[in-house]
Amino acid sequence: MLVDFELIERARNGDHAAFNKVVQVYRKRILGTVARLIGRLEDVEDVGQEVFLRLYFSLDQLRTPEVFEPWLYRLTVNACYDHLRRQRRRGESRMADLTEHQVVMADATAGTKRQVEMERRKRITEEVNALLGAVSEQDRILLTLKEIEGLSLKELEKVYGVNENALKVRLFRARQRVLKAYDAMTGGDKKARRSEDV
Amino acid sequence: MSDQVRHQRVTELFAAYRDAMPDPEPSPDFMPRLWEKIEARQNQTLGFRRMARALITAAAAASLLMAAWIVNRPTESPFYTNSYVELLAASDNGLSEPAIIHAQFGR
Repeated sequence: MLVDFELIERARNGDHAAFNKVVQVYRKRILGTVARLIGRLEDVEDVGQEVFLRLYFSLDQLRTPEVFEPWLYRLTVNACYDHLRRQRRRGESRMADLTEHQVVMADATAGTKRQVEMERRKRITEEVNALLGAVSEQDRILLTLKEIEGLSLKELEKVYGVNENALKVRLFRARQRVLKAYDAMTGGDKKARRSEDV
Repeated sequence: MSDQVRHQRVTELFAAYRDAMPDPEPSPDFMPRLWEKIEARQNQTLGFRRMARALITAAAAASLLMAAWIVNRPTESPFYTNSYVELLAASDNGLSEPAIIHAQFGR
């Protein structure tokens, strides 16, 4: 826990200063998680604020301060999930927007070394976005939390409110679907087999 | 490509993504904008509450008015309240409708 239970308790009782403190402590971490979950840097602040907005209006529903962090993660996941669904409905292209953003960032960068690094990051981000964009929002979020955010199964259990076995099954299936998408992206098995034949 | 190699590549890709996407710094107006949104949502909720309260008051007032009207409503014409048989009997006696009214209510 990054904050005391007492601070959360105070925020829950309507203390604005305590709420501000909680936001200040968690916002960077939440913004990072949101960025990696949605893959669109320009929307990160809006989604992050939505998370804290939901936190403000639902703090009184928090049973005990001990479960605050998994609960905050659940709010983050829900806000990201809503955002991704809206985005999919609008049919926006994550890739194109992200590329544009990254290109602007790269243009602003003066040094060649930094440019090379930016290019590398851009390529990785595009690849992962394409990979995760090929699976459902549920798979994307679950895999991001496990594989990228590094949440343990125990933590995921609290976030999702399901038992470990059910999570393992979900993770396995999500992973299989991502592997399929990876094969489709890279040409996968077929190419490898062809090269082995040659 | 074996399954193990594919798994490993995807895992490496995810790890590289984690490094390529560090936690972004929040903008300086993060907190003021958050509070603006909180206040806007609170005002919206307050507006709904006020509207609901006004509707409840209006419904209660309308119910009272209707109740008062039902209690104090003017007596209806016997033409509408008398039965068909009563009217028929009256007409057989050669009385016209005003005469029946007069006979019954003394008007």
